[in-house]
Amino acid sequence: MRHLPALLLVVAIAYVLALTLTEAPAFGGLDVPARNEVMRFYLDEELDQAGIPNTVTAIIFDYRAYDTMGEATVLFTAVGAAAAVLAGHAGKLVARPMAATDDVILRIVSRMVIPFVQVFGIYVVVYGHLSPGGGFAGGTILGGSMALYLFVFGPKRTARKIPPAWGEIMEGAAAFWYVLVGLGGVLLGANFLANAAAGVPLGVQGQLFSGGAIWLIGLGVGVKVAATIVNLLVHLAGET
Amino acid sequence: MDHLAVLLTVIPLSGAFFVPMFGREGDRGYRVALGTVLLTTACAAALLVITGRGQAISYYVGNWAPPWGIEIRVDAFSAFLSFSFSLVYLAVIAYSARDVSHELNPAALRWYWSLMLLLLAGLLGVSSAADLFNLFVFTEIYSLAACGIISVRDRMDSLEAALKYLLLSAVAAGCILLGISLIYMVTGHLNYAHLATALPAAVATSPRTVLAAVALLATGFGLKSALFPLHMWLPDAHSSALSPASAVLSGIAVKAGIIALFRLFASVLSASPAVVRAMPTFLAVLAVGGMIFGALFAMTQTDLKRMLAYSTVVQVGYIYLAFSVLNPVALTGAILHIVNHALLKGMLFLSAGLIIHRTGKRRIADLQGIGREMPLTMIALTIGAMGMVGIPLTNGFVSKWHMVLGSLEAGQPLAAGVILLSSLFSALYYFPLVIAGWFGNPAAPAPARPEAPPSMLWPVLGLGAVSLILGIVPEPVVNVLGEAAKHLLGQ
Amino acid sequence: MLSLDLFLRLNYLASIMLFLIGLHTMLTHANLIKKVMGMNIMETGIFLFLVSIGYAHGTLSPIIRQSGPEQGLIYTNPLLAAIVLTGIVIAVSTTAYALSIIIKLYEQCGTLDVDRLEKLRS
Repeated sequence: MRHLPALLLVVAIAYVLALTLTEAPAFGGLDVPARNEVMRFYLDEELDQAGIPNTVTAIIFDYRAYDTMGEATVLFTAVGAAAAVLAGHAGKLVARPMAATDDVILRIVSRMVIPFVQVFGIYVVVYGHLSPGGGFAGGTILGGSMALYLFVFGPKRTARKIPPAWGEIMEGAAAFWYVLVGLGGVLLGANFLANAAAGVPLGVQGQLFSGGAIWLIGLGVGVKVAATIVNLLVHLAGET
Repeated sequence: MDHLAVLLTVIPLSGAFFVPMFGREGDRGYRVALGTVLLTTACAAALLVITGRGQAISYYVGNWAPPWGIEIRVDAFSAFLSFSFSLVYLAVIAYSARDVSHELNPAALRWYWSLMLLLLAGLLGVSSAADLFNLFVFTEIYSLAACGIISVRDRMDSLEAALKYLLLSAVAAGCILLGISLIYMVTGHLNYAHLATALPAAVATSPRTVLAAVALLATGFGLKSALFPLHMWLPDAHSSALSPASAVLSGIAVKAGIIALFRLFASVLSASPAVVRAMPTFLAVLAVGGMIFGALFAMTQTDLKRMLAYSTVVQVGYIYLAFSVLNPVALTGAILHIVNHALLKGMLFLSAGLIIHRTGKRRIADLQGIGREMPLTMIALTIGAMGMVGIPLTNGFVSKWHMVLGSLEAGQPLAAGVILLSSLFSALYYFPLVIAGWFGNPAAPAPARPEAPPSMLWPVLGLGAVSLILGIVPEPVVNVLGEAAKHLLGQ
Repeated sequence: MLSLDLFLRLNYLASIMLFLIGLHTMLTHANLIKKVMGMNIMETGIFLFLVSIGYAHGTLSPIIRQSGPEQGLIYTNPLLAAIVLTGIVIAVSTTAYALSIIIKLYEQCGTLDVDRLEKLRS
């Protein structure tokens, strides 16, 4: 009975949006309205103003850094909400509780792979301003390595390696790090989250330590995302 | 001093981050939350003083001027809302200390404080956003946090209500994001001021896209603010949460969607051709539906908190209707009603919480003669109910008066009539509650129970006192808001 | 006419279809996990739409080597990439939280079916 109204609704929305799209700017055009002076400014001036080649990272961590702070907060909120829901559930009734695997090959291979994954994750975090990547991508890779550890060695041993309390503290500390960097801008006499405008040295273009506050924020976000993934997985696996 | 505009959201965010770091033991989480909300209130009060002189703060985060960077805009409208929201929050946090601690396990309790602060940060961020995507991000913060404080309670109905709310607000988020991307596609801007200048040209070349975008945004924010007929998540969500959580959700959180839509209309769409400006008329029709059907549903409820939740659907209708009149007097009434409803509904849910805390009674029928056992609680409940109905000398009367006056001034007697009719309906479900509470005879002679502890009682009575003061001497507030309303409507 | 216009905007059409498939899944399926999957499909549709707006034929990814006025012509729109990144993170957060509620509900009620949950409650 709920199929027909849903279908009607979806068809109606489809019709409206199809009508909309027939007059929308064509796909892939070079002269569409979205390619205006705002986008031009980012691409033309960013290398001088923020001093890093990766324009997307510059937008995320500098021009629109306030949005990214909100984004980190959304992650924090999700961890908080999930932790509050799952607090003390300890995998009671889950049909197949998560346990360590006995597979020797899996254990040895993952032991070998995890350090490399982590090094790669750190690389993606710290080089995020020079090449594709950044705090979010790198943090996810770092978190992924710990997810592999969790799946192979089980939640108990993971909790011994990274106590849940640490995970939570890390979560809050990394998120607060973002605020601290932002307040640094205020202390230096500019606005919240200011980078070059606050006189933060941008360093030499193309080098590892360049981009000023972008680099610091990226590092914090990397830690934050890794902590988030570990916390979420540990809670979902039921070892709290 | 301009930094206060950004600190308004950064302070509660930092507080939320502090809780898992420093608030791990005992009642430290509570202390962090209380301190943070106090600071936020002070910050909002300072902003109110600055903007009350008629000067809005435009803050460029990171010194990047729009359209490249993000602008935060705090005017008298948002400063006043922020201040009153923080004030309600103060009462709710103080109340929570005793009520929540015995219901939640330590881990959930810790995150409860954190989520409450995140909810506040999201709401303040929404009310000061002047950038479409920034608005979206803060909308998501407050939505997730709102679901979170429902689901901290380890009960099946809370979990189910939270999940329903979460999935629906994910649909709303999808609509909002699609709307934002359609607008960006035809204008290339996200900042409000730049959108306002770019939009008329975009309407000329692709009117359907802009219309679809506006419709999607209205649907998304309408869903988040429980605009009829998108209110189906609200009664479950608000009645199954912990009482202090219900107070902030019902009193404050549902307003965020209204504030967002209104700011969007006032600062972006009002400069566009008439097709786009038809949005308020459409919202008004839905608002009237909410006012009538919400009232009918509220009358049939047997559970006190569910009745209060349906009453919220009605009040949201009032605010949407008064906004859609687009007259400064009605707008003053609408802004005042946002605040009055936050105070009154907050107080009503907290009083319901006091009753549930002491007696465990949730059903309206069981509340016969409760006023004799808990007179102070019942006084608060009475002030709340009278304010909701709009009896003279209560703050609810002041806001409804302005709404009706504004509608008549704008030549829309129909809107005024609906507001009056719906007030009559409210009397039908609030008066029996008050009469039964004071004059009813309890079915069984109840054992003598004292009032709730003072630490829970005074926040409720404090809210009641603020409501009464606002009702008896409304002029200072009305004057400030009248100026803000004229400014918002560009008059 | 309509079909030709739509054909030139195939990316947009595909993303709208994904959006609607997701929405339909969320509305019609009783299984909670499937609802969450629908939510993700819906959001993916929006991200595809955002990325498509930013793309222009023959442009490069926005890792720039030198500044100057001609740079704006040869790269894709970086702002939309940034927005999509934020959107993805928000979607992931929502999914993780929804799944944790679902785990808890399953523990308490032993079912993932909305209709049965409704029955259990009343």
